[in-house]
Amino acid sequence: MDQDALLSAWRAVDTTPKNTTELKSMLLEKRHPVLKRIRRQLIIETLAFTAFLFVYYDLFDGDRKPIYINGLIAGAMLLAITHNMIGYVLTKRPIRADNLKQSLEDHLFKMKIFAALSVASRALMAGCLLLFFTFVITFNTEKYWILIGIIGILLVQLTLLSGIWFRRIRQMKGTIDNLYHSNN
Amino acid sequence: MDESQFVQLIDQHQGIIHKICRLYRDAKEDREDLFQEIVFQLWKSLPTYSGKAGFSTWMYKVALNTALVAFRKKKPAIIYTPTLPDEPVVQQEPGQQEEQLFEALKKLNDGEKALITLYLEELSHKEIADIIGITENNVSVKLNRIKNKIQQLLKK
Repeated sequence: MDQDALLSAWRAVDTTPKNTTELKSMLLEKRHPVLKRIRRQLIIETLAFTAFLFVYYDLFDGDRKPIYINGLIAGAMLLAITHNMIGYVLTKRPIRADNLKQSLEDHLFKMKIFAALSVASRALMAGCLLLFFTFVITFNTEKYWILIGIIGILLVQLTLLSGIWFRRIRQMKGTIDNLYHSNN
Repeated sequence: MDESQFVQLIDQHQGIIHKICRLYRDAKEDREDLFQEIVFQLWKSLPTYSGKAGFSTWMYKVALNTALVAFRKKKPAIIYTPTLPDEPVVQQEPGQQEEQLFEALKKLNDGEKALITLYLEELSHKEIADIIGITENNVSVKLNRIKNKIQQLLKK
């Protein structure tokens, strides 16, 4: 296919147009596919964490534990909720850069910070929950092995989460390198 | 610019968005999602549009940025057909050229797709350089490599 044929094929691409009513509905935040998913996660986790904060003191003997442990639990839950809200805000932020290079580099920078926050908030929440629930336990050998198993599972989950972010960051870096630094 | 004027402009230029979605996403559902993300992002970013460059030039920048940064679902596209064909489906000539073109374009990396999209939309090298953020000379060099790559892919 020569150059003219390439251009002709491109011009002839079938693009079934959407009507203006459909286009207008896409301006609504509630129709945005990614924001919808984050919003759903935000609502579910906020309700779950809030419900936990309301019941944990009586249900899980919060009064038998030091204030700082209770503070850590509340802080960890709030951090997780804040992390989801930051993700929501970052997804809908407008593009301000003068060109693609600036906006991609800006996005990569923010992605790295959000990735660190994502992993840290999950690690902190897991650590605080573990500390809370094990504080009054008298450990024997069997219980120590169970604790090691639980920590192992949590570490696997954090490794998987880190892996997901690592791959996303690597993909974005690859795109930027191919566009701006590649000699191929 | 109010909402109605914006929607009219998008309506006039939506072909660009369709082509970008076709290039960057394989599954129909993913293309629909990306189309929506792009339109939403254009609306949100409208206050940053200074009017110095043409509306379509600004659109390319926002649309390509959105396509490049949007998360992709990893699940493979599974297409169900009601019956298995007895013979291979042979398409008419114009459709076949279009399919050949997209098969080749999809094998490019994301950055190359952005450059070739702007070239096929018949933007000047200067316009492409301004959108991408590289020099005009760099645009020429990269486009030559990409066009050669496409020709090699089309020969296979």
